[in-house]
Amino acid sequence: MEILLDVTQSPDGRLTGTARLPASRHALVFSGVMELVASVEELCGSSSPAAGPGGRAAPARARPRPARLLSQGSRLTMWAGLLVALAVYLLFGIVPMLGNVVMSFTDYTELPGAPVHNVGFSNYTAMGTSNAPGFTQAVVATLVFVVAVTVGQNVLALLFAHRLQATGRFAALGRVLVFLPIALGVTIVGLLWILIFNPQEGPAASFLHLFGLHSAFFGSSGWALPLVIFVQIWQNAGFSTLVFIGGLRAIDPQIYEAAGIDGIGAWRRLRRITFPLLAPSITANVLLAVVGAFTTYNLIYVLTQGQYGTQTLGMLAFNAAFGTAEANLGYGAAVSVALFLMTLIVALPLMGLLRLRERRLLG
Amino acid sequence: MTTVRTTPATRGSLRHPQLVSRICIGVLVTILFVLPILYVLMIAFESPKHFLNSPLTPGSVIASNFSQAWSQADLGVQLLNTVLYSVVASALSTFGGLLIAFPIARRLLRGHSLLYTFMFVGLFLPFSVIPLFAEARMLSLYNNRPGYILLHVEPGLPLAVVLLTASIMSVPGELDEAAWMEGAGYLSYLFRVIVPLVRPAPGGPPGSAGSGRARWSATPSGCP
Repeated sequence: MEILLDVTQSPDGRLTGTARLPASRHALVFSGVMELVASVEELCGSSSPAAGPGGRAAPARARPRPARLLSQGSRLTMWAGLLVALAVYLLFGIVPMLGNVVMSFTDYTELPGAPVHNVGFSNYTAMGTSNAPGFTQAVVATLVFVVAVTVGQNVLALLFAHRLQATGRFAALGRVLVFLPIALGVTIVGLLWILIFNPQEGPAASFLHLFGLHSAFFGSSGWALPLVIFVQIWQNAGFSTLVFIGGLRAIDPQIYEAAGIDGIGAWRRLRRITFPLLAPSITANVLLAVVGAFTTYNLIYVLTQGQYGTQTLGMLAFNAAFGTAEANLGYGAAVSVALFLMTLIVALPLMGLLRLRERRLLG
Repeated sequence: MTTVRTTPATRGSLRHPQLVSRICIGVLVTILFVLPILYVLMIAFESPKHFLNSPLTPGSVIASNFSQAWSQADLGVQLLNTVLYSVVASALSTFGGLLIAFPIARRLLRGHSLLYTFMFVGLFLPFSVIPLFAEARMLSLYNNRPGYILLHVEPGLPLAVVLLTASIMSVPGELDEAAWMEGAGYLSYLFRVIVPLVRPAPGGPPGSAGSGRARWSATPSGCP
């Protein structure tokens, strides 16, 4: 493996490290973020090699062997830090989640003074029956949403990454632009597309007028779900693009040179070299897109409040708990637990499968 | 890093399609990313009356929308809050992420991969805003700034761990051993060697995580 690292100890005992990170297969997610920083620096014309997105290291290298902390004090500090950080995660992540699970077995309504009963599994068994309308539709909408977003986001990101990985200010500007929606945040992104798809005289409506067409966009059951999928992809494609660029740049150019000498065409190079060697980035991107799509409710809330067929499980959980006058927090909690289990059932085996594919392709 | 990695024999035949695809991607990025943002900027600078009459054309540039937002919507306080919550909470969750990610990446714990999966699951925990509220009230963290910041730290942790684990793994472990030999302390090693090497991370991933991928539990309303 190529070591691009230089550690020096100055006279006062300070350790300083300067390095170009070798973009190993483990660093691919992260190198996407480095890519953004490098793009901004390139745009501003102050690109330094040290901040570069990573050298072209060998595509796969052995995992680092376990290191050992030598001093007892360091060991103590490590445990203390680990436990404090884990305590925050447990206290504000896991404990509320368990509280949520407990709540899902009750008929809690948040009305002051209203009695709370243990209702057993009835919130769960009500799903899919006529007592809890919209659940089956929400499961279907969630699956459509997740599949469409995952495929769309990754295909678009791959396309962008392939073209925007080049050096030069034009490509750097492209990388920053593509990443911009993530930085804008959900509310602004939602507002932006509501304005553009304003059915009265918005730009999209005016465009359709040219062909004599009309649509209510986010207010029509045919258009709402595809448009929400589009906005979700639009917001997150930039992140995936940067991850893919990190992956593309980590591929050893000598492989392409060898392929060029052998006279292998562009399409086969893409299919036989780029795509397999990109496996780690694909793993990261697919998983983040799947998890992101499953848990999205805030963007949908801003765009449609879950109306017109856009009520995914996340949105349903929110609407069931807070959306109506007869809000039922117990049922809302049960739906969110069901969503969590559904995500778990899809994401963990997918993670295993993609890891297996990586190992098969990269050895 | 060049994109042309072909031999002279094939380069000639590739030049034309490459130019076409470059133009295509330029047009695509412009339509998808430049125009929508320019449109909203245009609306922000024109009068509401002009927007209602002709939403498609730019009106005369006015700045009163901003002064109005500043005074009516308490934008000053909200901007301060946004900066406070995003910057301080991101910094804290990055630091916490580093403290969890380093032992995982270096396999210093027996159950390191179990811990990783445990943190990965944190990316999609069910939103639990009501229990979180109850808990925040109980711990007197409700309706005050330190509490709100603390509540904002947790949602950034899982992604920070996932991203930082990957990046720390790319820093050679030999470096650790050299540093331990020199007697470097744990935290000073993290801050003097690991943090500079993974420098773009602090602020980067959790910042985008905070705005883009935060869970519902991260955003209870009704806070200062």
